[in-house]
Amino acid sequence: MWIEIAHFSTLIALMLAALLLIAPLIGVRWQRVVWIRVARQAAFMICALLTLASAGLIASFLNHDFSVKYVAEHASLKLPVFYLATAMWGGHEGSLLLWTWMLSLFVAIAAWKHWKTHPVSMPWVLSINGGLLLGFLLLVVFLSSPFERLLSPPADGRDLNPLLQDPGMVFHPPFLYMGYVGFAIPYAFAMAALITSQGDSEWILATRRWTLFSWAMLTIGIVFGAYWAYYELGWGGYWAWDPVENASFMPWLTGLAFLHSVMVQERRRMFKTWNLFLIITTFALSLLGTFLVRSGVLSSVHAFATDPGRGVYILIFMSALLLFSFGLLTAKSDQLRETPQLESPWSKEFSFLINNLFLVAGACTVLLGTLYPLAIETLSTAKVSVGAPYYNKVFIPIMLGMLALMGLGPLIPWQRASLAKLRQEFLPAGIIGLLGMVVAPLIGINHLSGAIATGLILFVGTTHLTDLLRNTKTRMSRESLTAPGAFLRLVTRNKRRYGGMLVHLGTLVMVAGFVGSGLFQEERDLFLAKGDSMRIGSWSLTLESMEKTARRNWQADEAVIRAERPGEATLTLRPQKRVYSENSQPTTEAAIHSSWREDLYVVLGDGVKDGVWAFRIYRTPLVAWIWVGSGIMVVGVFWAMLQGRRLQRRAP
Amino acid sequence: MNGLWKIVLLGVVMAILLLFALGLKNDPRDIPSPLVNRPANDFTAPALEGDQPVRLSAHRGQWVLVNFWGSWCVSCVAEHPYLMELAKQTKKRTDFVMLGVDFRDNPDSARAFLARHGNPGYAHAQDPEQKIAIDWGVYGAPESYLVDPNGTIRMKHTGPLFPGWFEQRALPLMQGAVK
Amino acid sequence: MKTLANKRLYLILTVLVVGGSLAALVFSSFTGALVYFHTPTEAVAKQRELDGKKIRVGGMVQAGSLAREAGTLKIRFLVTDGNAQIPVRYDGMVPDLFREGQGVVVEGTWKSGQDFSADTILAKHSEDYVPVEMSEQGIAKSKESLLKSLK
Repeated sequence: MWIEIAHFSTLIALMLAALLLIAPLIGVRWQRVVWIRVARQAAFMICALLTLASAGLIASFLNHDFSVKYVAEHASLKLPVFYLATAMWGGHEGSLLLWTWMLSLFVAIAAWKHWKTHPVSMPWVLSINGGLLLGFLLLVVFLSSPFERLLSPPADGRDLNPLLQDPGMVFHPPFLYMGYVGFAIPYAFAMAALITSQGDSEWILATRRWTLFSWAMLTIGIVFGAYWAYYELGWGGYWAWDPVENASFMPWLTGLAFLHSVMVQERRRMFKTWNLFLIITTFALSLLGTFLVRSGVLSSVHAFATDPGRGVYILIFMSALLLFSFGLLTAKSDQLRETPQLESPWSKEFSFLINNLFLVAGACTVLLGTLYPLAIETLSTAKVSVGAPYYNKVFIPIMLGMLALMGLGPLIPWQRASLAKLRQEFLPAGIIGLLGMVVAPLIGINHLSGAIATGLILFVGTTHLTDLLRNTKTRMSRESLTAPGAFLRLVTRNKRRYGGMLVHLGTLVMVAGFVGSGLFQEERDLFLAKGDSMRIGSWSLTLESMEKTARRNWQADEAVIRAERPGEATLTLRPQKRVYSENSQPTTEAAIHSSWREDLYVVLGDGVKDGVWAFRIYRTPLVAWIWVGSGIMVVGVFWAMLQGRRLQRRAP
Repeated sequence: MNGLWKIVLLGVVMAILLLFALGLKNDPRDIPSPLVNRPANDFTAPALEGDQPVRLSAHRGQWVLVNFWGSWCVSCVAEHPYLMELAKQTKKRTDFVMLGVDFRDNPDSARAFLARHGNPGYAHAQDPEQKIAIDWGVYGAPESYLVDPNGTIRMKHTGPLFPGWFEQRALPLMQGAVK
Repeated sequence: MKTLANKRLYLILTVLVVGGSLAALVFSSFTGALVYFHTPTEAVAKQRELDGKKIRVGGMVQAGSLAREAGTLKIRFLVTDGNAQIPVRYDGMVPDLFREGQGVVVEGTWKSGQDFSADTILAKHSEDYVPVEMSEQGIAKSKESLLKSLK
């Protein structure tokens, strides 16, 4: 019953999407506003219909309606309610529906919020998004339908992949999709600006919050993925440069470049073509991220079903979109006038230019590493993989360079800075940073890039904090406020600047986490029998006993391990090896003790003979800093989003 | 943007699209099998149902689809409806026959699998010790091999067969061989 | 005007140097970072060519070949594609899905005259294609052979 409602409303949404594509074009061609109004209503209705469709699919899951093929494939009677509801995006078909639903939601919000403020762009924004929705709905309805029925419904479903039965994996896709989909709105505004030859800054102001939002969502999605990999996959790491991870990392990098370079266009009317290029690329990479995983062009840990028909359709869709966007960009870019020129390398705009070079180089690195194996496989019979060492080798210098720029960028003035002023501004921080680099090896950071990173973290931290301190003081004396009052006034007045600074501070925390976990992880493989002990770091671990446990849909062997450290309370860790009943694959559940200093991570291996089991134990310093740092970053982005457009009026 | 950059930009975009177009033909799961175009290892094994042993060489002169599966394999459930349909569709062909190899499995669970998901009706060889599977270089399940009338392996398909596989992949080979 | 032209040149040079060194970094790291995949048959045929290079070999863990050095996590097994076999050594804990008679990909180097020395064992599992797993009896049997090797 529910599934028919869902199917039917999706079909109507499909027709309305075609209307959304065409109606604004008619309206613009014959100057009839009514057609554009119709399109706006269509956007709202598509959103309502797809909400109903998603709800219908979730309802079918909750009702255990195994006559729906998608439900039978991704759920079972034993599956807990929470995973039952979220199994909607446990597979290819449902994820695409989720993607489309989010797109329709964002389009509706854009049609509502920007209707009055952007009358010129609006028809084009609606039409372009209509095209996107149509493309996705065709895929959902005809090529990968989650609404298909089974003629003879099974008594029980096949269950959700046990690897996906984890809170981290439940939240990873929706956030990632919100990030991907969110870029569709700035993209549509950018295309509208190109079409209407208004490539000036209006579209950038209109979409500032959209881009910030999407980038924040992408950050959350990526971090959830990393967190999931860390907690669920049991290999002690969080980032494997897997093609699927790379696919989400590329739009993150170009989106970040875009967030920085738009500021130059706002203030100095430069980089116009470049910004258009960046947003198109970011959205194209978002689509690539969706499809790379879904089309079966690449396979990896969480790649989904492959189907050649689907692949061909996706390829045609991508080609149409890419050729249209980049074709339009090359055709129209000559109309964009870049009046002012860069004046000095000691200026904010130049630091943004270098920042963009670094970020785009990073994106190219990942793209090359992801596509090259595909190229080799396609053009010859060899199979090849690009390992993590390649990415690490390239990304460590890029990260260090970005850190250095992060210290300089926010404080350098626009246009041109005097060298004397710069010296005064950066000398103390520079000295602290250099001291940090020298001292780092003495306190155990005996690694070149680790020491440099430590120094740079100190440098950036000092520049940001002195800036805060100085501006607070100015306000204190000028507006005769108390210190906290002045600080509050400062950060609420210019939310964008201080939100950005908070993001930078979050990044520093994250980088500290990368340095600690990347360079100083300790790993031990060994056998333990009951009563055996081992040492790792300052911990002493003892295997107390082996037990068997079971839940509704799995059974497990569980080791009970006592972990002690001088001067601290004793812990009990319980790593498991689970076997899910619908699915005979064994999975490991690592036992993790997390603290601000380090994580203790215990994985249970195979039982070798009676009472003797293999264990892998990691001691990873500062991993928790990565999660905390990303949280700070996201808070910073949201703070910056609160800033209205008030600041812009002051710009020339 | 000057002319050179435009050409570079569009060139890169086209190259990536072209790569995807070519890449679509590759199945990333395909591990090239060294056994293709080599004589298939013959096997004789007890059947899952009935007393008549299953022997590959008994089908010389016919094309044989050898499907490796097991009741423990989730994807085999997904593949099963197509196998049922294919068996029905090719029942009248004299030049084509299907064989299953149920490996790493116990016969009771395999029979339960067929009872639950439907029995396509062709013979299945039991291979609990996976002797046949190792001889054939099977990496996983399901995997399917197409053996020609002379007993040579002509094609390997990794993963579940998809609807239309017979027409798109097998028939062209079979017809090509006749000509 | 001359100073302006000089400044432009200075700016462009900086951009070129930074961009160029980034490009150099990317491409220099790229060569040598590629790990080729081979079947055991290919690896045996090209052994001289691959000597000491990092490669991946994919095949099946030959049933009955898995041996463990007593008291350590060091293991030795044969990877086969039904045609050629390669002896592999590995020290460490194996992935969940690593079993005798199951598909496996090992990454490491193979020096001539020695066993393949694996740094990483990947047991592949994806949603729609399940690598061969073991039945209950199979697991019991491989434990038996392990125990034998431990004695």
